[in-house]
Amino acid sequence: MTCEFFLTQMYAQRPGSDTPLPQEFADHLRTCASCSREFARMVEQDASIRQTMHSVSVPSTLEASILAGLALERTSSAVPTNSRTRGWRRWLWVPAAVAALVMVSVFAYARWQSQSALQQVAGMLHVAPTLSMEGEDREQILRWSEQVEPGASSLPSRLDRVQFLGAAAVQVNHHSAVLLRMKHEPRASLLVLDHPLLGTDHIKSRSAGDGSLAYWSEQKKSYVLLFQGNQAELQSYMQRMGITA
Amino acid sequence: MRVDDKTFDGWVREHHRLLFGLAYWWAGSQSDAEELTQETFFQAYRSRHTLKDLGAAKGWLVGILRHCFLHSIRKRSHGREVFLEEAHQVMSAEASLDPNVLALHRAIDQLDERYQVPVVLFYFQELSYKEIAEALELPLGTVMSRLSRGRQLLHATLEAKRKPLLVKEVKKA
Repeated sequence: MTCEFFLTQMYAQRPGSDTPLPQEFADHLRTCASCSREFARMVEQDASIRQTMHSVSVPSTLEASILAGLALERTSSAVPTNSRTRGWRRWLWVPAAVAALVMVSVFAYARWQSQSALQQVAGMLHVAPTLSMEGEDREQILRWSEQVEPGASSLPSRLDRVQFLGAAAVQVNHHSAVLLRMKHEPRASLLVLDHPLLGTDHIKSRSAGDGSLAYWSEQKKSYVLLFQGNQAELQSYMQRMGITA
Repeated sequence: MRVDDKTFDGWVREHHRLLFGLAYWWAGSQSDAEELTQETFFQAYRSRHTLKDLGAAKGWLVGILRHCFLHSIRKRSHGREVFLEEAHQVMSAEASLDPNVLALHRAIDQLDERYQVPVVLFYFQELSYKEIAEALELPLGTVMSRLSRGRQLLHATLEAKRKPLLVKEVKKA
């Protein structure tokens, strides 16, 4: 097999699948260092593409809204078509359809509220609220936060290493929330909100205006890490502080 | 073949992530992908009696998704009103994307549709070549040659940008 032929055939292979490489192809790979390098580069690039494709997260409400839509579809198609069907039974599908519609609306509203809350929170990256209380004693700050936002004093364990230098009371989408300013890192703040932005405790992050956000929800509360820097700087800060999944 | 509601709901739970992922990379936006995924399941539900083998549900659903996607492209090519606010939203969504995701989006977008569809299926690694061929209603040989050419073009486009994709750690709970 020539190198030219190898390089044209290389992309027809599916490394890592159950199908082994053709013998002639494998033999050339063993004996030609240059083609072997090209093949390794292709495999590496494939892995990167695959990982990037899988990094896109599925909306948490998608499954529920499909199932709710199907429920609506079923109730609609279950409407009796027989003209002999008389009386109240022909209207049985109405409450079921209304219930399904309510479910869809609730999911859509929850999603809209999360998006809207995140947009409001992102605004804080530009104009951070003035601290309502200052101090470096973590316990004291958390006790104060508890009065603003019940439950804010028991932060998740992934925030154990974080120290604060003050807190502010804020409102997000009519929900009371507390914003904690980080000690040692003036670009970082933590927002504790009594409203779940996600159904899980997976950390999601994204760029927002001039800064970046990372957020997750635990026990009906949301924690949003605001960072006046790019995604890479935010990730590096989180790693330093052990704020990982 | 009779597919009961419980089985169908099980398919929604099992396959909605795959369908959303494929739709996302084909259509290029989250809202289009959501719409396509939902439409696929609704169409599949209405035509569930046409499925001959319950074990082939995944490939069958992917085939319906592809039809929905092609239909949406055709609809758009006939002219679609785009509001200024919507265009602005698309631009801000793009600005907030991870650079790797954005680079891959642009590279896939440059591929011809006949390469784009099988290439995305290939990288999701959930379907065999045979299942891809069935979902695309194409002979196996055609699928393999399109995949080979499509992957080659995708790699070349990504390299031409001189911004190789960085392996990014995906966080899982």
